[in-house]
Amino acid sequence: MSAEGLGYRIGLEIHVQLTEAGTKLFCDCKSNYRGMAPNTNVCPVCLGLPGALPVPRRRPLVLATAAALLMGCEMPTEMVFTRKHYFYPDMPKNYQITQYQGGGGAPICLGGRLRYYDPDLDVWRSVKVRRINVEEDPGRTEYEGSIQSSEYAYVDYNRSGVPLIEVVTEPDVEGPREARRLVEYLLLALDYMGATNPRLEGSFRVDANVSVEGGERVEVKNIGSTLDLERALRYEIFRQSKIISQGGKVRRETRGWDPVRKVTKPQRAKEYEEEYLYFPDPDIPTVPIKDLVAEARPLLLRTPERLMEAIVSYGVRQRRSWALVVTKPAAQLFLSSVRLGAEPRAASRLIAVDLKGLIKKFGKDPNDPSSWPGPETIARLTMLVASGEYTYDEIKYNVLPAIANDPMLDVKGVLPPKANNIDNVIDEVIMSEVKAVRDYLDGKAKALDYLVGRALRRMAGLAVDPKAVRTSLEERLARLTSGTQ
Amino acid sequence: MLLRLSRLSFNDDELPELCAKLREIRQLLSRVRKFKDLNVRPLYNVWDQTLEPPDVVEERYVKLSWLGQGSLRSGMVRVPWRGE
Amino acid sequence: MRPLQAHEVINEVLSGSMDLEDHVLQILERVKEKEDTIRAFIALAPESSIRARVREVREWLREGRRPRLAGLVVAVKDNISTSFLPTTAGSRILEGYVPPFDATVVRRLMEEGAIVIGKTNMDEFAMGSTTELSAYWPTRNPWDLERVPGGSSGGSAAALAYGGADLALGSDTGGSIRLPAAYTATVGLKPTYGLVSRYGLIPYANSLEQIGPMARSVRDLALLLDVISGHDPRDATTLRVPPTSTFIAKPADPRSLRVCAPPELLEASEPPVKAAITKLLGRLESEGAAVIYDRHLTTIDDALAVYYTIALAEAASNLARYDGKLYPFVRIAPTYTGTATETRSRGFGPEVKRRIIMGVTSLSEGYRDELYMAAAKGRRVIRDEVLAMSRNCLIAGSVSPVLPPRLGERITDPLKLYALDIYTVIANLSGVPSLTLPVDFYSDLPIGMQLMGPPLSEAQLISAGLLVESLTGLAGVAAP
Repeated sequence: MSAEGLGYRIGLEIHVQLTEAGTKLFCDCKSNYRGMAPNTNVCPVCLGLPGALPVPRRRPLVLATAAALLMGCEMPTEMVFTRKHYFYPDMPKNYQITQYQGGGGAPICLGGRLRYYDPDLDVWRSVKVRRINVEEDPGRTEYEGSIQSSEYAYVDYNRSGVPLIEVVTEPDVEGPREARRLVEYLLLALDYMGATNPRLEGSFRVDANVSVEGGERVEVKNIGSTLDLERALRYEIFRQSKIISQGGKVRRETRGWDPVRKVTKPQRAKEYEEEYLYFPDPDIPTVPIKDLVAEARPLLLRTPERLMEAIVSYGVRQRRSWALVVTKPAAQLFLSSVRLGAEPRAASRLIAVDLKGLIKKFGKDPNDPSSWPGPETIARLTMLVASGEYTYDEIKYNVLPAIANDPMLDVKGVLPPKANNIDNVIDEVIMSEVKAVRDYLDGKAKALDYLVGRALRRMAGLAVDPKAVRTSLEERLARLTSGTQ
Repeated sequence: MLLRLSRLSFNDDELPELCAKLREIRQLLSRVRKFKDLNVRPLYNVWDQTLEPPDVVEERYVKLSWLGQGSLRSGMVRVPWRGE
Repeated sequence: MRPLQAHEVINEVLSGSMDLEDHVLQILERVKEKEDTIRAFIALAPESSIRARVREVREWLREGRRPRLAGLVVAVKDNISTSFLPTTAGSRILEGYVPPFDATVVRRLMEEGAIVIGKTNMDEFAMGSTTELSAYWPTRNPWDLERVPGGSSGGSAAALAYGGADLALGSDTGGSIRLPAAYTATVGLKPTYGLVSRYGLIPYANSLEQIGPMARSVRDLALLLDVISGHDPRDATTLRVPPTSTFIAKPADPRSLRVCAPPELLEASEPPVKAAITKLLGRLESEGAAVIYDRHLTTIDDALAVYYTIALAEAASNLARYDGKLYPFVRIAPTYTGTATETRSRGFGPEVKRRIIMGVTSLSEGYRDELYMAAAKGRRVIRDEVLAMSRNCLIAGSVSPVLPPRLGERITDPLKLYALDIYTVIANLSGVPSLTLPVDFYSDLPIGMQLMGPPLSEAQLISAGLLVESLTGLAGVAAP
């Protein structure tokens, strides 16, 4: 029985660590704890020791304000921190300091809209944002065996108190793919604003709410990658639709995503409704937002959208500009090489397509600026193409691999002399490789590859465009055929 | 439910007295109901003070020196668990 | 008995006419003599570390430094964190906990050369008004061993009253400094909310409480206040004000003194209490002060309910952290929830448990609007009334409606216990400072009076206190 075609609604809760804030939310411990021995990034405040007092730190709040501005949020004049109570091993105080609308609380964002780019269809979309809270992350827990059966929980509080923003969307995300693109865009924007490094392990988690027409809402918790988000949503929509179309009932529940088996699994149902005992934290006076907004505004000059606009204004297509922007050093390299006189369209292709591909192929990190050459190199290469001295493909095949391998290389040294006697070489090959020529003429297309290879070998050390060689060979062989007939 | 939320338990013989005393206390506290619909802003911080957040305060790292070795394993804090 | 006052000791130590070691050892002798019966301290610093500290401070003096508390012996309430002594807040659940940091006030004491002699007994987590609800033992009143010293800072007050310390620190959430001061003929101040850092104070009700100075005379109290007060970047609720300079304050000129004595702060008191305070007010009048008896504090009827609703809600939240995972006291059960429940059920005393459950109630979905939120509104009404009155006059009244109760007299019935706080919670709800000092004795039992002023009027209160002391002649008095 078909499970397709039922309508569904998707809403997301996206938790992003402000890893680049420097400090934790209420103390001076580091916001990026990775690589530290367990419980060495802790102080009386983030361990919740009695008498230690949380004092909101400025940078995390400025970054959170920038996020709220990015989403055009309606903001209160003062934000309020609220205590949310539940007992858990990873929570030192057994309450989390967060923000909550109601009960005297005021979150940093009371509603807004996130615009995001969909590269698959080359369009901009948007989703309504219900609210954004600033809150502290709990500690990190390890279990022996499964989470259900482990005798002990082992807790490392290095993460405790790391600033998080929780972005809650309305349930109007179009579909699983769009959900993924939305989160990718949000992370990229926060990356550009200097708020987070989404490439760090565990820097974001998504909870997704999915309901299929005729069923109740199911929450899928703790999805750790954007690819998994898309998979989990597809899985869930399929699973729920199937139940409903078979006449079953989808009840309200919480499930977890298993990234290994690629399925969602039911989590143990709570026997009772949660009661969080919200009230404004009496240790923290309200924080006026006005000055934070003034400090956050300059960060918005660097959103992906603004950058794409800048790149498109050079005549680069929007989708190509996205390919540049998704890799921060690539976008930066593009802009600085254009400033040095690079031809924009060639430069964008060179950087976003060919060089990026090679860097990945060689196992290097395209997000590491040192994987890339300097802007003068790009400028020079595009000028060689623009002046007609070399074709784009000559550069692509003869120069780029060497540069991807060693970005500091001087272009002059790599640039081979032009091979201006292709025709002679091709004649020589046809004469000496009689068997291959015959094979080709007998219809074995593969023999052509062999012939191209022989020709390239004869021209080793020169700038050759393999496509041009192939075309010439084909033409010559075609003439040969018509000649013999 | 209150006991569960408070993570407290009592013997059966303690419960009657507990309930009686709680009832008395609640009766006292219930006097505040008269303010419920009053049109004034609740006062959470006695001076209605606001805070300009600082960059750093020089809070220092500490070691978990007060915890016995029995509650630690490879630097991690060990908490009884079994799924709940 | 009149031991030397702290400011007299400091003069002699700094001028070289007294060796600070002699002074400290003399107090240690007194403690050894009295502790068996009074039991004011939960933990005493080992004599060896006291001697080491004495040598250190003596070295400072030799280097020419003039620390303001050089060689003064200070008793610190056990809910104020010390990295060199266990800190339990009078509770089993914190047994064995030695904080890895010092409270800001303790750091400031140490920088000024104080000798911290030990941690004083208190009602568990400061929840009580008699020091009988300590998880360890009740402390006795040095003036009458059958009576309580008041609470929750009863250990600090008792130690001062028998001469076991020159100065002491207490904390006051709803009267916890002032009740014990009144019951032991000592002087105590609940400072303006935000004047003294709470960093390191084990929280009971954050929005209400302050650490405050306790002493045997107003001058001594001023000396200690000047050291511990002033903005602290680690406590976001401290006011942006410098430390006070009240030590140099002069006694108030009675002819420019205006005192309001609202009947609501006096009428319901026991006759001896009421009589002593009325007599003192009369003397002030005859010295030329204006005493106004017909100003009313109408909100006092609701103050106790508002106070306890807020305090219990904050308490329930603050005490959630004690579940056996980060503190030495734990009762292991197979699961986390079981361990937390078992640890808390064994670690907390009955009154603390009642307050937790009641606090959880007032924050729960079904009751939040009619309890916690309603109380927060009521608090504004009360604060505004007190602030308005404090703009015109200092507010005088009883501290406790009764003389020091006998041991066991008040603790069986929570409401009777709470009623002891009726006059003191006003200052905590409205944030204003309140000074308590002895005015008289009634058949050898001390009677105290409180003076409240507008926010940050500590210097004014201390001047008025010096004037009252000059009339009562009780400065520096100690139990035999």
